[in-house]
Amino acid sequence: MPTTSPYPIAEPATGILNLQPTLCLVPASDKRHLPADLPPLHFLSLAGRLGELYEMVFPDRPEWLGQEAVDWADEEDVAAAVERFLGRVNTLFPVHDEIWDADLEAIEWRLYEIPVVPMGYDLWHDDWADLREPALYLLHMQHSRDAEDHTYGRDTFAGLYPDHQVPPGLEPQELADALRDAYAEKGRGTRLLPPALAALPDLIRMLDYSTGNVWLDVGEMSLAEGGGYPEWSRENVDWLAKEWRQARPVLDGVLSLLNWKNENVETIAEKLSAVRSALVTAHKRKQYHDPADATATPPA
Amino acid sequence: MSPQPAIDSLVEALVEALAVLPAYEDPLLPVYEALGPERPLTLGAIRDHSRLLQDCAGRAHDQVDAIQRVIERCQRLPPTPLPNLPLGF
Repeated sequence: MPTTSPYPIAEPATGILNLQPTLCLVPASDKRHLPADLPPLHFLSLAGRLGELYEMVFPDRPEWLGQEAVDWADEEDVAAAVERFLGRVNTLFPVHDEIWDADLEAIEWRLYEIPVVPMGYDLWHDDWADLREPALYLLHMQHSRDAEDHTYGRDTFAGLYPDHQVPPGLEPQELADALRDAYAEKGRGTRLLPPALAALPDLIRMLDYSTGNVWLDVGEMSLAEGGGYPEWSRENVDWLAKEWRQARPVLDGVLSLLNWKNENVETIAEKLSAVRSALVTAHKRKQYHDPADATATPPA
Repeated sequence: MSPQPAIDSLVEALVEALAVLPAYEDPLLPVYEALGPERPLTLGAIRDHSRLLQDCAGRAHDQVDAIQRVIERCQRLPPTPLPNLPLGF
């Protein structure tokens, strides 16, 4: 029964059928090579998926499908094609568009889950000392006050910021709305929150994970460790793009605030004074307007 | 009592079964035919044949799985003298 098999068959000893050492080499299906002028089957399958994503994400750019040649000889070529796609996605919202490890499994993952780059804080992971002011000031105000709450009886906030203390009842995350409303008021509002501090309410919300925007409330480490990367779908792409359009100006404002007066210790102290002044004023206004707060401990 | 006669009879049955099997047909042949002439081969061309590619890749996977199962069973067979087998089988 002569047949042509793609699988290597070892010659047995004459007159002995010994199957143990013979039929042991079977090409894994995903490594199966097609004729020399076509990429391996697994590359073709990845190309099929990549083409599907192009159609889904960029339905108005069908010409890109015709421009992307699948002359992939190795994993590096596959990675380069996926990087080009992700670079185009990067114009819609931030994704990791560089593939350092050209491992097929790692490349394929990017074709099933969106490798987004969230912009939120990972306060449980980040080294707080690397944060720029007033982020660190606000965090210590929120988490490091009241010596009696701490194991070693230390009030870190008082130790770090002796010249910028705030009243005991002042919680920055409770003042974000008041600061924003004040900034929206013409005249009186800008006196409370000067333009340089316009993004202070957003920074407070980012540190409190309460902006309501997925790009700003989730940190990269949290997402990576939680494994919650979104899957590729038209709905997810639309949603992420819409959220990013809203997040981007907020993030730009926050970065401007973090970079403002950051030159040296004196200018940083000026920034903290401005932030403290805005917070204390908003706190007093809130107490005046909010009967519930009016019964709280009066500011020192 | 030697099991050789029983083994000989099983091998005969095996040879008969192998003799009537159809010649090997590559499940990816339709893919070669569809994509082989595409010059250059682009994502668009692959998308045009995505259904075919998916079906053929599925059949190739199934074939490999089936072969693996046969191999595993063959590897459990002890070496056997086969005076009746054609040389080189």
